[in-house]
Amino acid sequence: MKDVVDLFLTVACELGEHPAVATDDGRVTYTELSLRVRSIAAALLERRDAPRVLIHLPQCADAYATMFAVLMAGGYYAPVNTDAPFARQRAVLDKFNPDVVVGTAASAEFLSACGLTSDILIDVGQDLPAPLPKPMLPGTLAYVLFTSGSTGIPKGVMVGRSGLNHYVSWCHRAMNVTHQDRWSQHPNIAFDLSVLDIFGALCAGACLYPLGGAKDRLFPGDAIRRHQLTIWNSVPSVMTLIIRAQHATPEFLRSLRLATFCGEPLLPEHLKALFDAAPDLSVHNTYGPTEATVSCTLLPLNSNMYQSACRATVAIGEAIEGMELRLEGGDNANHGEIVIYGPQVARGYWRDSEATQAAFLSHSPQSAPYAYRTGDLAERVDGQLYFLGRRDTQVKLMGHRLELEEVNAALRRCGVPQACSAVINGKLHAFLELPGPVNLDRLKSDLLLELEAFAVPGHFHLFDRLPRNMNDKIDVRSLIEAFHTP
Amino acid sequence: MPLPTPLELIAAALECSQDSLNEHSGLARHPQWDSLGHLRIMMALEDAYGISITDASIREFETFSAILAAYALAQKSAG
Repeated sequence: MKDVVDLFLTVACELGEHPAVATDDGRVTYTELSLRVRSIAAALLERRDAPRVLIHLPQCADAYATMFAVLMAGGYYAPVNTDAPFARQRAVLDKFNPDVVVGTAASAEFLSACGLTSDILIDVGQDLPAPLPKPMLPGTLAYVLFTSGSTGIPKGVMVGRSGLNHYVSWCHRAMNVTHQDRWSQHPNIAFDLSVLDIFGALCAGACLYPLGGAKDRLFPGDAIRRHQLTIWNSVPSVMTLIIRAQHATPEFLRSLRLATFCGEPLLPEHLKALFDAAPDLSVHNTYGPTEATVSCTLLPLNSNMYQSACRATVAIGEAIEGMELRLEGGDNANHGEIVIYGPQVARGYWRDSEATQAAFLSHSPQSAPYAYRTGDLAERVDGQLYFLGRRDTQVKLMGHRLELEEVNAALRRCGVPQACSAVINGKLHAFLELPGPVNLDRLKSDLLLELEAFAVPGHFHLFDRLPRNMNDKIDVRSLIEAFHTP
Repeated sequence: MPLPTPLELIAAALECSQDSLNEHSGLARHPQWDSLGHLRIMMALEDAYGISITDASIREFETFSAILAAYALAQKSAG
């Protein structure tokens, strides 16, 4: 299996003046990007061999170049979202304790606010040394992705270089990426969905279009039309923005050949809007936790067959080549927790052996994990695998054990397209995202046909749009905080 | 027809009660003022006040107080 650095350098050599990264302000060619990669790699090696690097940059060509540069220098990196609250950025910095920070002048201010000098900073706005001629030996790790931990302290997922290579190799086979592809780069670099864009596009000669501007993020359909994008990748919630902005039309979406989704349940109405606007489009629904390197299932969908893969949500597909998903600990063989086996399983959590041993399976505490217990529940129906919810969203109400996702799924079956539920002050609350008015009495009686009485929420809150977190997932925590009474 | 006040405009865009809004309300500081809520506010600002939707205006009008200030300025120049 080829290494991502070798793939990129080969492509860059072949394509030369072909655009690698494009924005409204201009283009960076493969030759130029390759030079940046080699120069940043040289600057890193001046500091340290196999460096541990924090990338403190927004979505831009230099951020992507730094990722390849770190790997070229035999090191590994952690990306940080420069738009995240200061406390979050600082928590990642403190926990990762990097040898080097790659950033801009703004990063010097950030480091100063954290009580650090700029000695560890490489400012990509300054002169860089002569390009490194060839890659150093690859390290074991590729990157450490910090996700939100249940304790509030970020948890670093250590993704191995071989896992990344496996994923990128699959992506190229599954997506048939060509030099003619114009590929969106919507997720922030601190969200691992961006790994698909960055390595998928730049190791195959496509042109990447970072959507960093406020307007493009709010009106992504505009960016698709303006740049005539051919590949779109995001969480499904972004489709809701496109639909509500009335941009799910042929005028806005006709350039797309492939739309790929991951990170939360894809909904049947997302697919309907996409296929109504672009009947020839291919859609990939994928599933996977950060701990299995972005995604590890695939369900290819088209306008002729998608309805057969739709229940309350869209099916998540089967394990990709080389990976295996097992349903374990459930009521029967078709129900249980998803446990993931294969080369994309991460190397554990950064400096947290206790959490690693709790979630990963390995032959000994010293050996690399071979499987990951996701905590996600799924069931197989009519040959299709459907995500049910989180194991840890199980609550107890009046002595009854209840999966909150069971309530959410019942709400969806009763006609609420997006819903979540939570126990607040001992009571079950439902939060409904509805475009128009709803008859709550009717909804409650419908729910009683779906759920036992204790599982029917006693409190309903209606939203035109449920709040989302930085990754555009429904922000249940903020809802709980808003409605909790001390 | 008189222009809607910022309170009326934002409450209509977010489909929330006017009572739930105050000078501290803003993007991510009100349960319904998230990215989609902000999209609707920007579309309403364009329709009602003629504010162009740009990267700068999307960032500028992330708070109730910023929209209030723009409204006051528009009223003053109109008067």
